[in-house]
Amino acid sequence: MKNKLSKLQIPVLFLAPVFLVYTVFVFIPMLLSLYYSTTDWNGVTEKVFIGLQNYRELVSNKDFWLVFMNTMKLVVVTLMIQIPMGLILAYLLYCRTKGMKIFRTIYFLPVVIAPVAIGLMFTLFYNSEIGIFNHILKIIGLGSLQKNWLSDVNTLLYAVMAPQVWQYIGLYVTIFLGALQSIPEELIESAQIDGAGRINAFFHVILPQITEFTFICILLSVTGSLKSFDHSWIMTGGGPGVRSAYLGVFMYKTAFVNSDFGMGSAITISIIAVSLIITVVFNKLTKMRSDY
Amino acid sequence: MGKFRNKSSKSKVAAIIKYLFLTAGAVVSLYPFIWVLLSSLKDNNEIYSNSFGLPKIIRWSNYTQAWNGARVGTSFFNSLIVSLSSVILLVVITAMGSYILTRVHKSTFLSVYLSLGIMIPIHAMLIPSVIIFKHLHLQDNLVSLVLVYIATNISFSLYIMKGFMDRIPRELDEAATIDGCGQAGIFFRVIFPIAKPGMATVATLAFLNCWNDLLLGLVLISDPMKRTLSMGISALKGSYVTRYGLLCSGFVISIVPVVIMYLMFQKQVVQGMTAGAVKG
Repeated sequence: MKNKLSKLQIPVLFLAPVFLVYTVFVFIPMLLSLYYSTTDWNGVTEKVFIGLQNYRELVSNKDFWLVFMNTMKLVVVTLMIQIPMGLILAYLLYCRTKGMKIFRTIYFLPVVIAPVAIGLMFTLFYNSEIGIFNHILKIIGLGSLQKNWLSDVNTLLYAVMAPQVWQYIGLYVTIFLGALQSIPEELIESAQIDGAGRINAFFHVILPQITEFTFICILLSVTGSLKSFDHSWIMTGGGPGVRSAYLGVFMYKTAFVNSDFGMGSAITISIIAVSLIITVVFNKLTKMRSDY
Repeated sequence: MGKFRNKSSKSKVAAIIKYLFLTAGAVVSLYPFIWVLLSSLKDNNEIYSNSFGLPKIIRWSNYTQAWNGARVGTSFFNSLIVSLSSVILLVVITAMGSYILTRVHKSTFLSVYLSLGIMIPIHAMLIPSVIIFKHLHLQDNLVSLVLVYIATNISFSLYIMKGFMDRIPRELDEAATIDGCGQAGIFFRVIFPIAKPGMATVATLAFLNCWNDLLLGLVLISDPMKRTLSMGISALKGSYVTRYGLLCSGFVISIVPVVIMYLMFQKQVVQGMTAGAVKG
């Protein structure tokens, strides 16, 4: 008996810290968020249980839909730019390129830097006095296109998206490059012997080999967009109003600026729900493909 | 013959286009940082009139003002202390946890439970953690940041660490048992030293996550003296909107540690950030 107990001692002792910290600060908070989302609560007074009222209010809130659409636009724009750019650059690096490692190091650099710092940097670039975008336009003779990128309603949202799109291209370059390097060389060689051109070989031989990685990149890009906060927060604070806010910024403003913890939690749960649905659907799709 | 020559000159053109494209990509990735670095040594006038050139007079005063006047120094040390403590504690406890989960007691339930965090965005913890730390009397305390940073990094750290420990041959454990080592002894004398590369990967990635976090800091800390660097940068933009040189120097100070770390531990950084993708 005593022997058995001491046999358990080490496993329990070794697992306890991870288990406790994770449970108290990740798992329980997630359940609490779910519970708070069904209450009317400002964080100070007593919580009042109101069922799904917050969600009903949310779907009839114009601001929510504006922010939701902003987030979806971000999802689409990041997908359309990050994945193709990542793939193209990776493929070019993969084709017996000298200095491949140096290029890769440079492309990946922005990925490791704090989004908030990148946001600050782009704020400076957009600045109407000193910003390089206006400078460059002037130099190439398109001075008439100069504008205050972060106050013009037409450019605002895209100006806020740009740093995020730019920052993470290197991540996809690196993942795709790893994927390409895992393809057996005979496969590509035999395609070349068959007389398939570079471009043909790329679409018919290489692309099918890395489908799984492509799915993962898409998933990373989408969930990353759904969680985004920092760039929008530092550049515009999500404003004016919520015009340049994403769901994450909207949630923060609702909960911590307007002290509406109940509604803030409802927004949180909708972010989680959307990411979970997308993740599950994607996993199903990848599984189907690999089974096939 | 003619056909052959034609083909090779065509491939030469292709190669030139390829390198042009790659170089353009490199310039777009790197030049923004160079511009900020140069501007951090200029005053407003020069940033305006000489946007692309080297500074004519080097103004280090931007740095001293950002470091002292704008409290970037304080934020820098706060970030350093919080990130390092989080990473050290995280590595130790996830190494202990992974050891049990891969070698002593393989529990699928626990493994799945502890990996759920990979899918939960930080947003889910914001409001509840404010309340929890209020109850723990850790409001506006850097300890609260250390705790949530550890917690939010546990899932992926366990994932990487377990993968690593799984590949350590089991014969080593057996040999150590014969030599009279207990479970704890095997961990500290055998596994811990061998698992160092796995720990380095976890540590570099977790350090980046902690150093770069803004959201948790904003929610849990309000005292300006306890701000982390991300919050410091955010505040800098608020109070020094038009001091461009100073903003640039604040930016440079905030990225120096991660850039150094990236250049030194590039392999681990890349491995960590793409681990989820590569193993599927």
